[in-house]
Amino acid sequence: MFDIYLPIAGVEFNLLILLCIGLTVGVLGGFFGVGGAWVVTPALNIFGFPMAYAIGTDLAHIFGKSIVATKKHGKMGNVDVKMGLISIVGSVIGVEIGAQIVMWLTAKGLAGPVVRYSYMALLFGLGLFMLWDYFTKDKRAAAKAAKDAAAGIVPGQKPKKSGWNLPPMIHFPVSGVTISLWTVVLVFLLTGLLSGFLGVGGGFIRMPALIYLIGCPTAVAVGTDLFSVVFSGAYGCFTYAVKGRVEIIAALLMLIGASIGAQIGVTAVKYIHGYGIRLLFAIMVILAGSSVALKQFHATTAAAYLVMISAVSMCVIIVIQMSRGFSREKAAKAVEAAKNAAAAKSPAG
Amino acid sequence: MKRSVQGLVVAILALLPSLAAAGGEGLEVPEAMGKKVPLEDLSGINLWAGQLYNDNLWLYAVVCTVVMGVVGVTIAFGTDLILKAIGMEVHKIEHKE
Repeated sequence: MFDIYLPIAGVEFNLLILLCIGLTVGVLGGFFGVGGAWVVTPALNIFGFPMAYAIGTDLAHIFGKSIVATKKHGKMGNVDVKMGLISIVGSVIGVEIGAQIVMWLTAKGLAGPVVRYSYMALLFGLGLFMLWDYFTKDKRAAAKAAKDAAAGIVPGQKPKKSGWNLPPMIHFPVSGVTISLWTVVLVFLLTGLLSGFLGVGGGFIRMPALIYLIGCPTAVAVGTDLFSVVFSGAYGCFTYAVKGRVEIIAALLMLIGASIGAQIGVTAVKYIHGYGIRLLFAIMVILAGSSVALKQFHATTAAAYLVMISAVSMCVIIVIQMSRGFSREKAAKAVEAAKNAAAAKSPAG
Repeated sequence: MKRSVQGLVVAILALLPSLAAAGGEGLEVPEAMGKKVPLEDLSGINLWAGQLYNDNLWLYAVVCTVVMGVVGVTIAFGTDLILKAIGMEVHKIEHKE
């Protein structure tokens, strides 16, 4: 039931599975600001989609989905276009350097294990750092407040930044950051290098880099990262299609699911604030790291199931949190309306 | 400012291929598969997609990219209108950490 024929791949595939995979990755992509290829490829694999077409079809739908999510993030003031454009340039150069390192390692016969272990170290390291950041934020804020008080700094008054202020300094109004151009370029060069070296899209590296290294608010990091994904997704779609590796019907169906998911994911950013997003992202990254570790021990099917179950569970958590936020907002509006009505009824003066 | 943005866009267009190639396994994807889609039992949109694929892969790639972009833009603006009509339009949010 619900099986449709996919002409390019030459197989029958379940329509609902494609819509559901799209929906799941759409929620995650809109919420975390990532492409989500690490979820889609193993999910398609489990359900028997021909692997020759999986990556290209995934990239094609990521292109369309990221337009939907970026548009909505833009409306919410979460897209820093200037930062996004610089991120693309820096990333591209970094990717080239990363790819050259991999080629050098390949020539030495070391590429496979070095890349795999680096990938695991990055995922676990990033996830654990973000968890540490989340669980110690109050303690660190209290310590900083005490230190500021001892130094005679009035709360709310920004102390002079002692960072690297090498000119030209650039102001990013959307992110609310003034930073040296060289810092920004260096950060994106580094994230690009890592994605080229590890052979991944890089959304999950760029998003935390925007937060921790550049100082963007979490929601802006999510939106700006998605803006970059639009460009890489477009090129990815084209280049894989030229190689005959895009199943256009499947990509369209996934895009429909993903567009609905992206609406949910982006809306959730309105209700789940910065540190909430960081906590969920940290958990997701650690689960992704566990999946890579399983693959390393040749448990490929278990790894794919772990990714899929994690992704679906994360979507459920995001939807529940969003519903709670929506209910709270509705209740607050109702109280406000009641107050206004009472004030209007009471005699003037 | 305008010039620097233009410069950035040109640089992006020139460098984009490497970024997309960061898709990992994508680096190992062989060139065109040389495969032809059997068209005998196809009809409608499947036949159109199959014919396009068989005739010209470059055109197929352009169509895939344009279709995905156009569908993405249509859904983005379409849902905006629908959400606005039902009162669920989003506005600028305060960036709270």
